[in-house]
Amino acid sequence: MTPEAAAAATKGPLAEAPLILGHPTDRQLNDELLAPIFDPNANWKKAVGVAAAGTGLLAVGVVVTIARGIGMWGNNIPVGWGYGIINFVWWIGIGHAGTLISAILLLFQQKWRTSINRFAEAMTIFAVMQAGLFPLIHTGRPWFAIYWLFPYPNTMGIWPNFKSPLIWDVFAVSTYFTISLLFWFVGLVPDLAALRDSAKSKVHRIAYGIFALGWKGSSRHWQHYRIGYLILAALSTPLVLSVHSIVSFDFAVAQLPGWHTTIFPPYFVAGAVFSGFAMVLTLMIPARAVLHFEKVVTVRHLENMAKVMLVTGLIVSYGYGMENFMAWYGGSAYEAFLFFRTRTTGPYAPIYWTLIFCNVLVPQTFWFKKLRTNLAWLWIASILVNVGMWSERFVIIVVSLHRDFLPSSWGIYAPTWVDWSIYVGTLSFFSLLFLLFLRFVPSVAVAEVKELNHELHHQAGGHA
Amino acid sequence: MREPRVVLCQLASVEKLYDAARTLQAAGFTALDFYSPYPLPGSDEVLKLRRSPVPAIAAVAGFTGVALAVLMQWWMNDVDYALNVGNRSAVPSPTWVPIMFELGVLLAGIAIFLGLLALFRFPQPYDPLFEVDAFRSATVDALWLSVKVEAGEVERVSSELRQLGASEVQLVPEGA
Repeated sequence: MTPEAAAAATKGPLAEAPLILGHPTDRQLNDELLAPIFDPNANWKKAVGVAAAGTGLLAVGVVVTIARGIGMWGNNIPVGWGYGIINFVWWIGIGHAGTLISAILLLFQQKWRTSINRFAEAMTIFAVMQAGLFPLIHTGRPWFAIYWLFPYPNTMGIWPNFKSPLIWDVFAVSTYFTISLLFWFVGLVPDLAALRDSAKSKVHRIAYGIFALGWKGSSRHWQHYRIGYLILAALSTPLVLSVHSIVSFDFAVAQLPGWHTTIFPPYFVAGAVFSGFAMVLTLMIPARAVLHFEKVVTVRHLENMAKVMLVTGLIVSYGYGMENFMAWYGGSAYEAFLFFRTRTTGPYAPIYWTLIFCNVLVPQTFWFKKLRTNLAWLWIASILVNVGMWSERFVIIVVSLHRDFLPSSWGIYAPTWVDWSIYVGTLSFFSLLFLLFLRFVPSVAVAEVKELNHELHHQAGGHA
Repeated sequence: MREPRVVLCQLASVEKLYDAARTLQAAGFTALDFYSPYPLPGSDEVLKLRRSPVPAIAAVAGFTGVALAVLMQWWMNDVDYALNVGNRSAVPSPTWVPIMFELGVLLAGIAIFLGLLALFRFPQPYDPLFEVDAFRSATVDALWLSVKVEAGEVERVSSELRQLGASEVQLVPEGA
């Protein structure tokens, strides 16, 4: 038993586990957390090779789509929205955990966010990049999308329809991406300066010196910096809630059974947080082992994320329950048919039951501390949750569309190889960006961990 | 008239740093600054800093964004290219709200970022402080203090700082 574990054991079961193991000095934290940059893992290049090859699939899919047209995808009437929108909603949902961890937990002064926020923010930015690709290429001719989507004075003298949630979506997603990127970069500046100043080679010093912009850690700068960072967090908090609410309006304003419901905005936001935390765990559990971050990303951090997933999983389950209740209580024959026949026994029923298994049953295991702290199960469960959330978007989009009001217009949707290669391509591109991030950018907020280390040390009665 | 010189030194703890600053302030040296790897609680009061203008910058930009969103949506969809959607009220319309919010947040966020750059005079690739090799620990694990003094007073201030427990007391090379 380590001294820390022994100390925790004597305090009893309700004592909180430490957020930083041991009593490292600032220099030790600095060197350990920046080590992956100066001393990369031997397998990094191989992983990048695999991810880059997968990204090739994305390039192929996009080129084929643009050269031959949207007909290369599986969408057709009645299912006009297929993989393009499923994957858009799935990715943007994943992109919600970063801002939640960085902004909302910052405002609530949750100290455990400190060692995972940078990681989660990077994940957010990369996920939103993947998400943004889909609406862009699903227009078929993205070069026209500019006047469809952005209000700029064009020769046709027309403007976008601002009463459409699709335009709100454009504003919401682009604002979300911009603000997340600024928030991430502002948070990075002190760490880039620490990198510049601990670098041994001149190339590193110059490269990180450029991105550190000249940061010296001056108290006169910290004053503006802290308040600026806090306001960015305060702005991001309602922003993150608005983005998925607006995405849900894309569906909720339509009259289609399965879409036309008022519960969508909160239920989409909870689902987004649920899938985002799952993705953080999927990436964090292997990364902390490979990069040796166990001291600052402790089991307590992972357990807390499991708790957030349990809560959001329950909210999502409540959403499913309420949807079904309204379908029964509302008395609409079309809605009842969709919920009690098509979803449960229709051609896509296995996907519906996968969704129920992954999103409703799997998170229930997080009631048990044994399972919350079992990293192997946590990792598997996090992947299952994202399978479940993908299935949820499939059920909402494809299952609702494929059987609409007239049986004569029913149809079956199946994705083509182009759909698959774009989807797998975005997974690879996401991994590629993430690998680059782990290699070149401090993946734990070093300055914030040092600050936390001093606070914890101070509380424990030590001298800073 | 000669430019003032900058004396730089390292202190072992926040308490010593603040003590040194207060002693120098009492002796009439007010152009002080601290350097630390993370924000120091209480440094604003010790340095007697004025309130940061960042909240005001964010508020002005944010409300400009909201106003722009109203003007844009009203003029584009009701005046220049009028769209009647379901004969619902055109002005004001609840459908304006999402974009008012998004543009407000967008402009406020960008203004905070650019405002910080302007306040810091960043990007600043070169600073005479970077000539001091030991100063590289300021972003890693050490606390530093800088004070602007007249050329004639460098010696006196340096020895006083040494008495206050400072190490690495040195003169920053003049602006290269």
